[in-house]
Amino acid sequence: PAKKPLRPRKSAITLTPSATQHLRTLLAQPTPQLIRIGVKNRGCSGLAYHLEYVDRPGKFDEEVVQDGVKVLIDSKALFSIIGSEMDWVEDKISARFVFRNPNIKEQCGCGESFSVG
Amino acid sequence: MGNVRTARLSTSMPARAAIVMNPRTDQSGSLMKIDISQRAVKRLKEIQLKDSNANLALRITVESGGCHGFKYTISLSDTFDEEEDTVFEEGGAKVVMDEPSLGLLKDSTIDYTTELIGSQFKIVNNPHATSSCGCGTSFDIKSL
Repeated sequence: PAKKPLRPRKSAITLTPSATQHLRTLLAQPTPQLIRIGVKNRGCSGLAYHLEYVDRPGKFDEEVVQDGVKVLIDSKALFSIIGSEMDWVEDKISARFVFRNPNIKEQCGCGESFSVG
Repeated sequence: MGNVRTARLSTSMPARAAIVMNPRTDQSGSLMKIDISQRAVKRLKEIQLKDSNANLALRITVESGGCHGFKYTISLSDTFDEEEDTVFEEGGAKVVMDEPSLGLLKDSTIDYTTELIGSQFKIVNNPHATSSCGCGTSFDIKSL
């Protein structure tokens, strides 16, 4: 059988070394699970990143494998986060995943914004 | 242990913190208080221990700005302004606020939330907030 010609295909998101390291610790569990990245409609700018454990990939989920670590991207979120860089940032008062997203139009810096009535 | 998948953002039982410096009253004359959740206490004690500084407090400052008119910033501080600052303490953990900030955050709970996406200090259950943007990871997409 003739081999299919290879097509260039960039991975949907890139992971920083600290992100792969932290994902590895999150995935090192007795029951193997996968982590899926999605977006939810919330927050003042419309969308918010959301991470969840899943048993198996959704039908159209995009798989990203980097340095032996696999994450899934929810097919519905792909359009919003394609090309992003996922990083894990730790300091004394917080430790979290940060996304550097080239598609962003506006964002609220810290999200801790509120109004008082 | 509960199901990992649903083990996100739940508030541990908060405790009304003691006021150890500069109690303040609001316009109606009632004492302005805050709650500090047990998770926040635990995390703050860990930070104190790591830095070998039992005086280290979580400083919360409200500024004008952000998409809803006010935003708060959270930092660590071990120096208190005797005139301006009010210091709260719960189980050895300290939270410090200046008076204008406390005026806007009174009756709120200081929490340390842990989710798959990360963990951080947060102000939750602010009864005086009419709208808020929850998570700090909100964004929008350029129109193509």
